[in-house]
Amino acid sequence: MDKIGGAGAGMMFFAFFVLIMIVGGGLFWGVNAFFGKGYDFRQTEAGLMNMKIERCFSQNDFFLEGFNESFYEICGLNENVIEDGSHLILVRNIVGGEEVLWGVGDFENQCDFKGGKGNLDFPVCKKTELKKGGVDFVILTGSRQHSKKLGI
Amino acid sequence: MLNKRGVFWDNLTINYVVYFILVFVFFIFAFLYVTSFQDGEALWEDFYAKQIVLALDTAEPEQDVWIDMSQGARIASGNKFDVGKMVIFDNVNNLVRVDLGKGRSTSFSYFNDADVVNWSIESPSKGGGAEVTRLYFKVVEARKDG
Repeated sequence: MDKIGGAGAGMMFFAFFVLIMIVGGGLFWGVNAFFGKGYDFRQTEAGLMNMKIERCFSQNDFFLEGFNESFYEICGLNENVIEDGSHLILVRNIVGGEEVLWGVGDFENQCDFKGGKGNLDFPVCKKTELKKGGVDFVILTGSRQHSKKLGI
Repeated sequence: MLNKRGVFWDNLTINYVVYFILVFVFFIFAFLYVTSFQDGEALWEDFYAKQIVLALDTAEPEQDVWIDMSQGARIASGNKFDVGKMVIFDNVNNLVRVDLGKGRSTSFSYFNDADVVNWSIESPSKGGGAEVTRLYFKVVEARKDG
């Protein structure tokens, strides 16, 4: 067997593989660029969460000791979804600084990051301020959830 | 002495067949991916998944919900896909899955701690009037197993 020719033919496999990756990548990018990624639901979801938390907060004391354990049940939220790495719920006493947090705490910084505007990998947050018992609180909710494709 | 006939057939069989199989597999995946965007199928799956989640996240327990899915039904029918299976609710993972055919589906999670029961796809207009297909489901309090 011509071993020199065999080695060259074997190396051409990598060139072929790189070509397939380039063609496949170009196809994927082109189709997504033309058809888009669907509509952005992050702002809507953050707003809905904020509404729900505001309603729950007005009826319950989030800073009560032991409330954390029953938060999801009392406010009617699913723990697995909130803690899936794509959501944030934060309630903070503006003056005192005490806060309670569920989900990804870093979303608070990521939402304020100007470089992240328009970037789908960054979360979108909704902030509301309210007064309860004469104390000012801020409710911050964030979402980074996108739809998932299953199958081919 | 070098057996040139053996070398020839060796190259033909191994090299070209391997390349052919790889190209064929790549083509199949690329074809399925591109055709999933035909008729805006991927876009409509995404839209319906999010609209259903919007209704779920704002729903109260024991609330009945109807969502028009006529466009989705048209796409699913065109793909020879069972319209009754367009939407699947996963109460365990709090997930909504929309499938309009072509082997791909789109899922989205809802944060409301609720279960969905009695869901169905119905076509209320029979004989006269516009063709309307709508999804019906009932939202109930999440069942706590334990």
